[in-house]
Amino acid sequence: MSMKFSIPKTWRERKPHYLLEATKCKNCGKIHYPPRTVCDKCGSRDLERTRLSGEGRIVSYTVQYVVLDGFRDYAPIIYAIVELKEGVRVLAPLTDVKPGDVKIGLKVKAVLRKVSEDGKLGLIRYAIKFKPLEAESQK
Amino acid sequence: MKPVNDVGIAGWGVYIPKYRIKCSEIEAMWGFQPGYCRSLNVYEKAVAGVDEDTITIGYEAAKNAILRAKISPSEVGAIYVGTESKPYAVKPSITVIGEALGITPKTLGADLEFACRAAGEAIEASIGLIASGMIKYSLVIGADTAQASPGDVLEFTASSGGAAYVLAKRGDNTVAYFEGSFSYITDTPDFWRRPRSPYPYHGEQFTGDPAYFHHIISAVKGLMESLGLRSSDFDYAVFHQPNGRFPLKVASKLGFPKDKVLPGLITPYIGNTYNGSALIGLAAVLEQAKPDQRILLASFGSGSGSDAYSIIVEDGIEERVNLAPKVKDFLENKEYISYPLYAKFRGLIEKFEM
Ligand SMILES: [Zn+2]
Repeated sequence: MSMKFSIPKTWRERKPHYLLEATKCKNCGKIHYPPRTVCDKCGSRDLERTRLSGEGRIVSYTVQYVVLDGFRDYAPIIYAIVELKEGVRVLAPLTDVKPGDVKIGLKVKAVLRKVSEDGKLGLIRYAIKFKPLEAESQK
Repeated sequence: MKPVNDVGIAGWGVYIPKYRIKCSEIEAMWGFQPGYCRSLNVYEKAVAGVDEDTITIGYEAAKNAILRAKISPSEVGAIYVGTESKPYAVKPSITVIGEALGITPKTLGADLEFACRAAGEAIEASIGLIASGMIKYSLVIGADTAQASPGDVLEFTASSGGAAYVLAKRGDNTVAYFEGSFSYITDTPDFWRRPRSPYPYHGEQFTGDPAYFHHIISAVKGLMESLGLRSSDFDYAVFHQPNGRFPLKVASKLGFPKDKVLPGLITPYIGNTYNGSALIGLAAVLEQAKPDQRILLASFGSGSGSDAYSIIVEDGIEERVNLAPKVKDFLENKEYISYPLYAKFRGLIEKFEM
């Protein structure tokens, strides 16, 4: 049984994946997600960790019906680009919603879900997905 | 039991997945007599989505409890999850939950197992840790994605959901406190699951009287004797809810009228969430209780044991209710699924992969 997941990568990315930890440039104020070590706007290395709100709107999305091995249970997988309140764009799957109910501009919030499992014996990966806010909060 | 310093509840939160399967669909699938599940007073049950498990359910419930407690996650000094459906046999669930909530690394924590009662033990342990001054806040989670063999009567009730409580010293941000507790535990073979077995077995002749009723009645009577209280002193009674019938029956044996039980009886609409069962019922009661009211809470876990608590509601509870989604919100936000989709979500379909 060989593991397909990189265990160090799963560990290293846990904070961005679990609680939307990003970096904020202390020089120019730009927020980066996923976190960076050098600011891609001004080149500064003076960055601090910050947590994003997890609330935003769908900017674009795509529905994946043909999935990789091991992802059939999750199909169809809807991937969305979500613009958070902070102005940062995040690419993540949607959950608890059907393709026909997704539209651009839909208000969503981040939740923690299972995103993949390394077979029956390997690690389970958890990460942020987005789900629609309840109907009454869409205004 | 009564600690030297009173301990109470600073915040509570629940999470119930949105998917429901009607019990009539399970009846039809397996050829049960129509109306069988109605005799259990259960109509539908909550089903975890394909990407949900005890960790994600426990996390959502805990997030809501922290919102109501209005504390910073880093102030939590212990995290416990009571569950019998750990995603990993070895690797704690609470480390993922604690990391995702921003509680780690300076904290105690463990996953506890005692069938449906492990979260009850976590409350007792937390009361001790807080009363002694070792920690300020404890986060107690009861969450499960309960397993049932397809076609077993357990399938009508075994469901998914969870509840979480932030506990603190009375007066330190609390909105209710534990007046006292009483635990009662024996070795009883009513329900078990061996290490490699995907589904539990139940010792049919032990399920009712020798297990559920004997342990809850003993714990509740012990509690009332130690505090000098009678059933008429309580405004609400919340019992573990393996189905919709047992809590009403145990209440009547203990002298509690039905109207004190119904506000916390949630199983008829979501099934038995195991470690979440009584604690979701308590949350529903806290969401309507008034200061100075007294609540009886009695857990039950097979194997078997029960913890009975007397809880007094304090000032300020009403302003916490709307800080997070309520039990009522989760009951209303639902989507019915078919048996095949339920079977996929619960991992009942075996795929043979290379
Ligand atoms: Zn910069």
